[in-house]
Amino acid sequence: MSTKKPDDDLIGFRDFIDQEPKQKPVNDKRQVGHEMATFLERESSRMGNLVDFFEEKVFMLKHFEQYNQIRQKANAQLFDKRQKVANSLFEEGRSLKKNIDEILRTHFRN
Amino acid sequence: MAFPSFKKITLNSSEPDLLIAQLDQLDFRSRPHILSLHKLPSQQEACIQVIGKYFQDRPQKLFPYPPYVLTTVKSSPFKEVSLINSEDQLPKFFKVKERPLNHKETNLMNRIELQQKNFRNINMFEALDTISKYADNHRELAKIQSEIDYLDHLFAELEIWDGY
Repeated sequence: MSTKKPDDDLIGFRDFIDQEPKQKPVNDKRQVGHEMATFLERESSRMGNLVDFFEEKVFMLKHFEQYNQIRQKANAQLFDKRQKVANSLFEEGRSLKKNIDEILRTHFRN
Repeated sequence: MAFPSFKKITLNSSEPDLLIAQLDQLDFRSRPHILSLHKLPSQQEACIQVIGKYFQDRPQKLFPYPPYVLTTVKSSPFKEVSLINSEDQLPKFFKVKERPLNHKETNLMNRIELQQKNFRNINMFEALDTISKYADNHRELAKIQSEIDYLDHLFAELEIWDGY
């Protein structure tokens, strides 16, 4: 409380100066309101993404399907790779060819 | 206007017809639901079968808010139903206490409601079918690509083995 001395210049202001600041509760209304608004904003954004996915993206997938073209390319690539590996296995001087020749010579010499 | 936080529903009967009638009354597309089986401890498995079949036949009800079944049963053959043993296992996102909304929050809520209406207009059967086909096609492509990668690896190993 204020010290009541007649020569004190701060008389009348002492109560304000000495007053202890009020402690704010941790979960005051403004914070809760902020949490609620954040939740609703996030939910709105989530819903927007879901609508976008199920409406726009699925429409694109359905009407502009690229599977057949990619599949054709992949099959052609696979065919090339198989041929390349098979050719390389039976080239002259390759270990596999040498071993098969050896086996055939041993068993079917005559 | 339903606030999009969890709503707990206690299921009262394991009789398929009564259970389906109770589920039909719920609007699964407006907010997330918890279906509690605590009143039917001995008939939980039967209830989960009915609930699983219910959502299997009506996949549109699983979006945008998947339902959760509060039960002591650990697993279910239905991938449509998420089983939880306690409310702690629920996603925290929707654990929000409902209260009167201020002006800004009401605007946001209206926007959510509009988006929910948009969502209801989507043909989910068609969308899920398209996604499922897309996934199958990609699995097929992944299989081909893995064979290509294997052949590449084999070719490189053969080159090293034969000293080319």
